[in-house]
Amino acid sequence: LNHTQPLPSHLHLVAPSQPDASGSARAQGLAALDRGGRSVEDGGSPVSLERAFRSHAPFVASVAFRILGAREETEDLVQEVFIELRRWLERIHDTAALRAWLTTVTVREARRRLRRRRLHAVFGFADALDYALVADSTATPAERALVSEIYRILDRVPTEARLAWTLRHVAGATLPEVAEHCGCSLATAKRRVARAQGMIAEELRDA
Amino acid sequence: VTPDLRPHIASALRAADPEWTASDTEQGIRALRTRLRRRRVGARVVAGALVAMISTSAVWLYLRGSGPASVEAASVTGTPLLFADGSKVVSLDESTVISVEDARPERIVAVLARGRARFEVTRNPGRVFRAVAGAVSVEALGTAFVVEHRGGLVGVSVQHGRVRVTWPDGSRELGVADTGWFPPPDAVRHDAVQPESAFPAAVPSAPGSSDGPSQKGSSRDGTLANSPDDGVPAWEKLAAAGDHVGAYRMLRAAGGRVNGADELLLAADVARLSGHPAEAATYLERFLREHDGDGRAETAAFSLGHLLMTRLGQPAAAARRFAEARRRTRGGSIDEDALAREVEAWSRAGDLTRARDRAEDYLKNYPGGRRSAAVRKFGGLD
Repeated sequence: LNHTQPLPSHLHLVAPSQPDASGSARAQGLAALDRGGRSVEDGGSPVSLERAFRSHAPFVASVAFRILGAREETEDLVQEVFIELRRWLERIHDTAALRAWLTTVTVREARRRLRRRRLHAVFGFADALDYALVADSTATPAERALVSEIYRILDRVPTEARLAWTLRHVAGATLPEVAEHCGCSLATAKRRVARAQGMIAEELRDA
Repeated sequence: VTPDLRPHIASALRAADPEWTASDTEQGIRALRTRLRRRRVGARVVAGALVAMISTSAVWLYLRGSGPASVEAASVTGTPLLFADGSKVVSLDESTVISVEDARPERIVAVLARGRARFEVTRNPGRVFRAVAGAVSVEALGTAFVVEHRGGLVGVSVQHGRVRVTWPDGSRELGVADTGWFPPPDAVRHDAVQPESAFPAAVPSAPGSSDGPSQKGSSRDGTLANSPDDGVPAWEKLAAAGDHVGAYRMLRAAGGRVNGADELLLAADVARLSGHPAEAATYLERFLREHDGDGRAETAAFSLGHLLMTRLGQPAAAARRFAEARRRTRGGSIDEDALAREVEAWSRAGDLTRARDRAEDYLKNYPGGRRSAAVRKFGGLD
């Protein structure tokens, strides 16, 4: 989470990291997101699916990954989100609205997957997830271990609370934004965040 | 989380990153193309199977009876009239009389003498499909619609796709969820046979059905804007289904009238999410004016400030709304965000003194707050 950037005037969720020197797609994608509105390249017309993917896939991946903590599932989720977008693309004429829409669809799809994971766990079909890979290459071993532990705890947190807490504390959304993307009231969003926070605090204390 | 753990957790979570690269994007685009191609092929296979099944039924119907060109059928409710291209007509009440005037590969004309029927037309740009009811004809390309023929008036309700409705001295295109009675009121001759009651809202509805054009509530042009059954405006239903563009269109067709706190907030969302920020701001202003004591007023004020700053280019007005949100929340959870946004808004409005004052307030109230860096920048404290 990048707190050193200016307040994002268009982004609802804070961009995940600094643009890197290698000019990665992540950096390009976030730059495009930061522009807001229609881009010059689009010539004022609604964006194409491919262009939308180039601009927004890094953002969607970032939100999805922070919720799920699993790279492979994230890639699949990104695909599903953009397939869904294809059905609505002609109706979305504003990239600011597009970004909020993508976030909401990402949260919805992530919720479905988290519930499926739980169901699989109940029947003993769940694969063990290796959360040691959640932290990026810049993380220290201690940070890596802490992130891994938090995601293991999140697996025991109720899905809605997990979504709200992750959006708030990992993706950097404000509480009103959490409420909007989770489709609940502000009070409910606060309650869910607090519930997850309480569980994490308790488990970390016990650890 | 206990205060001593918080910085460690925040620092560690910053490292949670998929490290998405340009190569991931390119691979993703390739995978997306493949996935879409597979789905298209799958959809075609299913559609092909359906067409084959329907065609077989049509052939059977043709061989069994007198053939489609002279059919006077489908007068039994629910019995479909099938055409070779997969289009079909379903009678919706027992008084319905349909005949097929023409059924060639390039042209199908079905005549609704009376009653109600649903037309499901297979998309085929090379063929004209026309439903004729009295002096009104409805022409479609790949759509489903209901036609009701009562007392000289013809009701049309589009379920998907588009149709063109033509009457002796005019025509109009209808899209999804559009409904109307034709000829429209100003085109009806005074000596025309009128339905039993006033036109058009009280045109009698077909028995036992709610999917036709007999709906309550109408706009001036005869296009009906409310849903047929439960009194919930259609635009609210579309909004609930996530179709904000459609909901906005419906809301406008209904004259943009909304009442009550819930409707105002929903209308604001619909306008905002369909790309009409100025109207969204109007609804939010009205909400704040008319529902001052509502518990959602703080969020409404914040949203209004956000719209004014990011979409409407009115940073000074935005700053005042953020201040209002803070006043209403009284130290609540959105106070920090509202204060940070207020700093940004005053800065964008060029009022650097106020931006600095608010920035100092922020740093005092939220030392180490997560918006500190931006607040310092916009407050000129760097």
